[in-house]
Amino acid sequence: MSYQKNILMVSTRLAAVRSRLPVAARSAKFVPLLSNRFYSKTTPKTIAPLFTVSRNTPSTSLSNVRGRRSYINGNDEETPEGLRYTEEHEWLALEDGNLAVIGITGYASKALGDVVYVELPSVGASIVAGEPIGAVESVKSASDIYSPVSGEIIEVNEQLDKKPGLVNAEPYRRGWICKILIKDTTELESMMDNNRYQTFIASS
Amino acid sequence: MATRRALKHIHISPTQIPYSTGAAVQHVLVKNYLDSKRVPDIVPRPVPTLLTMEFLPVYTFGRRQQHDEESIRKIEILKTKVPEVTSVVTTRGGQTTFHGPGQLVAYPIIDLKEFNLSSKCYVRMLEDTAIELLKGFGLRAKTTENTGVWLSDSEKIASIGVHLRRYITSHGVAINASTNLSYFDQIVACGLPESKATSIEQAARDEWERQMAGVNNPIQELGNRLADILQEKLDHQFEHRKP
Repeated sequence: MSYQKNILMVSTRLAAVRSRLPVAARSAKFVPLLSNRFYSKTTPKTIAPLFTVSRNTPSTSLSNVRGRRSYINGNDEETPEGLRYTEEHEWLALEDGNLAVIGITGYASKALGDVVYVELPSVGASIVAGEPIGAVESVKSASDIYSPVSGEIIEVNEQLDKKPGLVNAEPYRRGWICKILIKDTTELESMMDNNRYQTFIASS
Repeated sequence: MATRRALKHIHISPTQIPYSTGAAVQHVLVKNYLDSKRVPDIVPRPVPTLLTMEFLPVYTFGRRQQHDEESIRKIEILKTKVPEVTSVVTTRGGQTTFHGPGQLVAYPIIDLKEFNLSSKCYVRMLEDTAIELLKGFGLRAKTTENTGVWLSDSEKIASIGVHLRRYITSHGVAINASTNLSYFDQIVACGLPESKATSIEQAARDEWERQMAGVNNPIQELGNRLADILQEKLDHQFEHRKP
């Protein structure tokens, strides 16, 4: 009997908590993980601290890059806030002040079609802003990717070797391309924010 | 920006050139475009150009095959089996193909941004251009789920591979006109083992011979026709692009 009561309590708590979450986290991909307190006999006065987990298996890359989850909307097609964009349709997420994660935007991956191969840069390479750092290949056409910043490449997304389709499926999450340690943060100022980028793609 | 951009057609002569020459000419044109994007005050905006040429026998490989071990092994095998044919790894998309005498190779060097084309649409445009060119010989070619232009589900008559740098296109389409098709037996063209290569001469011999009788350089003549068709398509695209 008390078990059933607890289930009812859990579902109402879930609804209450969900309504308090930011819009992004309310989507079906985020499921609150319940703490043990809900199964106790006493009603907790405050909601126990909940942390959200994605229903999909979190990739190792995401757990390395702290803070990017807050940038991601539930819908990968939208232009996430908090990222910077270039006119060549690359996005950049800044972590820890000088670590930049780079990928191509959903708009670009849709325009390319199914990505069949991603040519990744080599780890340790020194890059100048504007230099090509690899290419994304869809059926029959290969498009170069350009680095918006200068620095050193410290990690590349090896998952793309086996699953180049991640660039289409999750351009802002598991489809990231490489991470660069930036030397000069002033280069970031010339990049667009998500509103300007949306205006840019709407007008082109 | 609102003026119509006329396509300049350059056919590299004399008849057959080594692959490296064609690649070098292409590189110069692309670099010109890239420089004009980087320093627009110094380098004036170039004119969209169509390069057509005919190569000496060469096997070319796409970008992804330079890193793949299996492909590297196959390239080595090819070099020993057919030593008179050079093997080159390129920066274009796609996989293995053959270029040689009797084949029209057309490389449009254009800025896709000017025409508001996505890379998917551009590849489609190249396929449509080849289809229209073949219509002139009474051949009804089509596109399938595999890129390229096909006469039937297993006979490929034209192959496509493009490289995009900052929206500047390089490489393009290769149409078999009177190519020696036995060269294709040594490779699995474009990674599709069930496909066979065919040519205009093989599929429509009478029509080909009739139209090219007395023509000094049939590949150049084909190139001229392709330039006209592509010009038409680009004009159409230019007029209908979003404002």
